[in-house]
Amino acid sequence: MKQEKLNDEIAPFLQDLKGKSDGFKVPEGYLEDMEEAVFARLKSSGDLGRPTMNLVKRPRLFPWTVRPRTAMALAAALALILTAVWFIRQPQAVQPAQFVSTELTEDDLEFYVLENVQEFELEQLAALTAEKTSEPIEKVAPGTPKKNRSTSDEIHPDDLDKILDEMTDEELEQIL
Amino acid sequence: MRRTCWLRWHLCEFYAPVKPPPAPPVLSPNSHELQLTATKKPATDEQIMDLLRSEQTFERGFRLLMSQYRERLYWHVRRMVQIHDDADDVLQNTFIKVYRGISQFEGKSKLYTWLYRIATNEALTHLQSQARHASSSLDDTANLLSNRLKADEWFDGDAVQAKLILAIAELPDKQKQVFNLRYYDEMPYEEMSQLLTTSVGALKASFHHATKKIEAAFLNYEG
Repeated sequence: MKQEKLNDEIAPFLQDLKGKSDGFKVPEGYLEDMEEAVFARLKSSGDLGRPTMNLVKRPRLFPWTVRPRTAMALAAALALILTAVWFIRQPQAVQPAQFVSTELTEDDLEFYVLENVQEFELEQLAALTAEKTSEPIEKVAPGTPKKNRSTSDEIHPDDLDKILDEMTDEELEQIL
Repeated sequence: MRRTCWLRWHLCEFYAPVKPPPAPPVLSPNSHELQLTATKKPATDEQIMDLLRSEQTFERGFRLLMSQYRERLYWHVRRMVQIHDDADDVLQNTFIKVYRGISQFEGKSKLYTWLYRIATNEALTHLQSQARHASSSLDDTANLLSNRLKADEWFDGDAVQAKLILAIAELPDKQKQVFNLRYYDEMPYEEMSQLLTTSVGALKASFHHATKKIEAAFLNYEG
């Protein structure tokens, strides 16, 4: 098989020449004697018998366990795992708070607004007052103690005139 | 019955014809796989290196290394330098370099790959010094080599074989190596790629160019 492939690459005359000897001869026993000739030269140059260094082994990054290539592969795998864990443990985006008022009454809501009026925008407060025109909102300064809540004690001066106009003379006499 | 069978088996073993030992393989210089002896298994690189690592067994390991690779290296060098005496010098220089520099072998490549490179460098150094000598003597390298080849008592080829050797000698160094490894040793390109640290494609191209040059040299010769 190998011979056929080689013959495909060379001209026919080279194929013919390959089958014959290349003309080179070797003296008998040359290779066996060459060994001694080398040692004789080493001895004459003073190299023979000189303390020889041991072969240096390939240094390892982690000589107690793995070879450099394996160590690099393990480090890459560890880096991938740590990156995946870090992504998974990222805190999720905070959802905007949705106000649920299933258990809160209007009074509770009003009290909350009065207590924290400074956190609300003026437009929001104006919207609240527009919904409840008969119930003026009392501005509460920070730090003031809580007042007892009453539902109809406070009457706006503009509304007073209206109320008075609607009252009969008999009702006015009773009040006075 | 069992005793009879045992007896028959025993007698057959005793009187069986003696099988002749296996014939040793013929060592051809053109063959890629060379074995020094047919009966002994060649030592592995690891076994040789184990011997070389200890001062007590260093010389024994080096002798084993030489006996293992000397023939293969000799033919590689001989085909580079053509003349036996030159090949002898180069080969001895190679082994002396190996002896002195064996501690630098890190084992990253095969032992033969390392030896091959040292031998190639020594051969090329020798050829360069020959070329300098030829230029200084107002004689071209080809003529000098042709004369030396004719005078070499260790070459008994005919004119065609001499022409092939001279044509190979004219090739650039890399093409010469590739041609010798592929043509004479029939080394697979994949193995050659590891030996010469060259891609398979480049080696195939190199061999192709080398064969074309040799064919052209033969055409000129016939013309």
